Amino acid sequence: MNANELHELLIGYAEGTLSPDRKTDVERMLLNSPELQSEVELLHSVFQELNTEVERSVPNHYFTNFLPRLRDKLEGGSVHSYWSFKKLLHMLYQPALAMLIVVSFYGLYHSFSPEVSQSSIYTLVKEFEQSEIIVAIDETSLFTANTAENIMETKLTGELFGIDPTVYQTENEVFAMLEEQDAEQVVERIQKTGNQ
Amino acid sequence: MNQSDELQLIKDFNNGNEQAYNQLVLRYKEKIYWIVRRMIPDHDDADDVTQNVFIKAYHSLSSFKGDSSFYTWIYRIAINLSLNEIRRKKVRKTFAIDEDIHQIRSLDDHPLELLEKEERTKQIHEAIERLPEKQKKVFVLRYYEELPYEEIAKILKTSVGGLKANYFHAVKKIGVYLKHER
Repeated sequence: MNANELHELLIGYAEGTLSPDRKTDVERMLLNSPELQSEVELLHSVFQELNTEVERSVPNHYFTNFLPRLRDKLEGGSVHSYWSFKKLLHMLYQPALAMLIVVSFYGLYHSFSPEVSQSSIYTLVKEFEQSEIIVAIDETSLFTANTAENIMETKLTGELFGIDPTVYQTENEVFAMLEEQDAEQVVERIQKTGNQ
Repeated sequence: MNQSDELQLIKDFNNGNEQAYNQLVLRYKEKIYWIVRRMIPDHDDADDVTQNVFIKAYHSLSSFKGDSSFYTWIYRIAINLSLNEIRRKKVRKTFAIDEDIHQIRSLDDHPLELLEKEERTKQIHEAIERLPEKQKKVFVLRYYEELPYEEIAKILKTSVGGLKANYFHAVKKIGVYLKHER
């Protein structure tokens, strides 16, 4: 007898589904093997427990409403027959978690990445209108960390110093094209901005 | 309804008869729901999966070739979607097993006995929940659906010998868990 056959016999014996002959065969085996006896007792206890299992509940009319709800979904709707607070929580759980992670990373990034405040950027833009040098800086790069602001400042700085906008792409390229004197002026302005 | 009736319904549906699909749903909705519910204890989740089983069937019936019976085919969808849901749930692990165990009360039930029964049922469901995927599938189909091994082998596309071993080990593991919890 191989292992599968033995398993099937023991399960059948514990379930009480064996023929009388097979049942006698198993009982004969059990007499000589305390190990098998304890296995059969364990299996038997499971089936006894399963027989006392309490029925899982289903809402009233669930099966009656099943097909109309399904048709509703298939035809493009997604109406549920009842409102479930738990379901709503499940729906909100992932977006809320994602938002929390994004906000945390944003906060973490900004706590380690000093930059020119929004208000000072606006001040600089205003100053540009009065034909002054527009540059913002943080401690780690020449210009602000914000890409959109970088682009704007690069463009404005280029225009201010009369550099053809088609010949540069980055703020560093703009800087490389500045006359030495102008560059000093920018640096001076940057330092002044940083101190504000 | 026998197998040839079902094949006719599938043929009718594939020719545009929506009523034929409705009849298949009416025939299988409870069976499918209970297979799913044995694997996913929460009713709302089991409902979602059951609906998705029939939606998937709706969109895939055109590719049903009739190599196996319809119920083998749709049971397979139900088992696979249930396992997908279980895997998804494992990531979040927010649900409590059997929050809504409900006793069909009889006059003989004493409140204390009822509580004990409910507690024990909860442990049984926890034990099933903890089974490895394959053992869980085999246990649900064999114990609750009372399907012969040969049918389970068709649904799960595996050998009968392996299924017997899986069922034996599933029952044994449930026993060990319950013994430990007692």
